[in-house]
Amino acid sequence: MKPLISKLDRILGSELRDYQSGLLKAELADLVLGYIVSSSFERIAGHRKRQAKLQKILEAALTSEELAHLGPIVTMTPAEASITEKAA
Amino acid sequence: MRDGKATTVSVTRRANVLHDASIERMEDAELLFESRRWVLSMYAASVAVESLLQAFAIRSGRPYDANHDLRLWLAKCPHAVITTIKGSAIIEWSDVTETWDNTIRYMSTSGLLGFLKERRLNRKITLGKFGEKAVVKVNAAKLLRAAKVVHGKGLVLWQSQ
Repeated sequence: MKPLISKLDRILGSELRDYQSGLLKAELADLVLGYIVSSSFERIAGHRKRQAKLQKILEAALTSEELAHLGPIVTMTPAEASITEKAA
Repeated sequence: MRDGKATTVSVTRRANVLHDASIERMEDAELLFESRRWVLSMYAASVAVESLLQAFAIRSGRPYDANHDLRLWLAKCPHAVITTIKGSAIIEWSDVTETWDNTIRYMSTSGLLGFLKERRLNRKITLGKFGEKAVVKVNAAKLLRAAKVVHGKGLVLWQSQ
């Protein structure tokens, strides 16, 4: 799965602004899942539209075999993914 | 551990399996909401948060138990998870815990409506074309939005630790 994850990062990194990712191999299956972060999602409200954008990019760049190894990928904007710890 | 039941139990108590399940449940919650299946959307969104908290707790060596109290699961998580959620996602965390109940999965839409009224979560909601179901829809949207924030920050933390 590592080559596929690298390929995904390369493709998505070239298509999405301020791209960051946390893509992993699923624990018990040959699937890639996780999250991606991009400011390109800031103007796209709604799960379906974000997933459609992601799907369009990936379907144009991956083989059908590679697509079959894709699991769910959560999309976030940088603000949604930001972590600010509060002093305990 | 060779019989089927024991194997199933052990799989569902593995941290990485719970982490992966949380991502799938959040995807399910989104799709259910868009399909107007609001009751199950609320349930799936909350299960996504619960699964990820369980994953953190188990990865840090805490034993599994059968409780579904999100506050108790958060208390078992590593310090960084607690401080992040109670820091940058405190409003969303409150929204999730205010609405979540493990018995939502057994409720009809009307049952959930009664439950939300009991918790006074029907206030300030304008009834439009959906009538009283608007109360369920608005609460489902609020819970989904809040759960996504808590879950998203949890996903980032999961890989940063």
